[in-house]
Amino acid sequence: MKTLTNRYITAVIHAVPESQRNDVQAELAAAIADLTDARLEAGASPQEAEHSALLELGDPMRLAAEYSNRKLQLIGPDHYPTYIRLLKVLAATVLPIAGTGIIIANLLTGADAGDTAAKTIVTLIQLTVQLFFWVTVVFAILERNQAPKSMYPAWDPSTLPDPPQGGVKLGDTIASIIMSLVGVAYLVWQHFRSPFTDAGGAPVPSLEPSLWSLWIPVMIAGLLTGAVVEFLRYRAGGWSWPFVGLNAVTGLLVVVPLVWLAATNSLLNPPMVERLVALGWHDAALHINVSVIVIAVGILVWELIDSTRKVRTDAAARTKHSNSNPS
Amino acid sequence: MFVMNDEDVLAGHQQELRRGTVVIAALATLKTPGYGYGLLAVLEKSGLSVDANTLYPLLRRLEKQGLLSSSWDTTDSRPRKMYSTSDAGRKLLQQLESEWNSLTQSLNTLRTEDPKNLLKELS
Repeated sequence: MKTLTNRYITAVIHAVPESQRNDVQAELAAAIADLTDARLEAGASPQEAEHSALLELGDPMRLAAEYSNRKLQLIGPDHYPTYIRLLKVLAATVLPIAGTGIIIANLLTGADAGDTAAKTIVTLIQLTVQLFFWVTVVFAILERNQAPKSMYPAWDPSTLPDPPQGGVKLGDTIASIIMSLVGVAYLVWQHFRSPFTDAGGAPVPSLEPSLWSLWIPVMIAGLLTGAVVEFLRYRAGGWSWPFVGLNAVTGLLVVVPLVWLAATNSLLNPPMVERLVALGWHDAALHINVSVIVIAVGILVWELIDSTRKVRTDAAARTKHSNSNPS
Repeated sequence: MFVMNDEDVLAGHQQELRRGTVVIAALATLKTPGYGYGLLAVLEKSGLSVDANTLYPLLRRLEKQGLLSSSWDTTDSRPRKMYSTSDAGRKLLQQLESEWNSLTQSLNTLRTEDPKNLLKELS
């Protein structure tokens, strides 16, 4: 077996560029010998002396990095801010878009809700890992190569984020938009997929199919407009009276037909109700209609109260924000 | 909150303060040619203890920057790399020394003068 010194030198020079190897090897050999001698003179045993000399020189990988000016970090302070910013931007854009896309695509091709949820979660996790991995790889390569200055943009105060102030959180907006899109996706999906099939094997829609002539398109329009209003509200920096009005209109566009149809028992598809009754749920139509009315009215009322309440605080926050930022 | 103990705080600040002085010490000492361990021992004796794993790579870096020149001394049974401060190194040393002096002067002024006067001038 080689001596500890030899093993140490080998470990260091393997991590040093070829061109420096001979030089580093010779110098390191002399250095270890000198350090060891000093300890022998101080009265240490040969083994102790060698051991403590190597201990003073420390981890070979670290020493080699010092010698060759190599980075001991995956991503250093030069690139770290850009790296984190890019990750955040990608996570905030790619993930919600991909998630919505997967949900809609799955529902349209006829997967059931549980399946869709599972697929969506798994895909989003994979996507997150992939995003993280590839962005990290690119930045680790940048870190190890002298990138031209233009590759890391100089920070400038004008790039400071200008988030709409006062209760407008991007997360809330995204969640609200996704809810609207899920609603649209459900309205479409229920027509093509169902837990029940008729005698011919075709799915039994949950909602009355004749509603497609008017009311379902109206509700889809209401949901989509609601999503757009939500986005504009985020851009504008929170609630103001016009947005409260717009939001109420799009909400009513969905809730009024829903409540009216449920109250007159013309929302649900009668064959669907028959299947439920056959399964032993005798008051299925009543229960579902009442639930739809209660939930729809509840959501609308809450939205109205919440948006009205926030008009004042959001307006105050906007004023304060624009005062402190005259540009 | 996690509080570091006083010794760690002191050691951390001392290390920060000493970091740049090793270059001055090395360039000044190596006006007379010397090898790694010799320099390490000299610095240690004069109260500027440096870790071996900092000094050896530093010498190589200074050599790469042209501030030190080197040659192999094979007269001893143990061949050693001898470093000596180059002309460029001497020039840089002068600049660093004058920087060091002006830092000392500034610090002295700050420490001796009544801070109230300095602050008054500001306002």
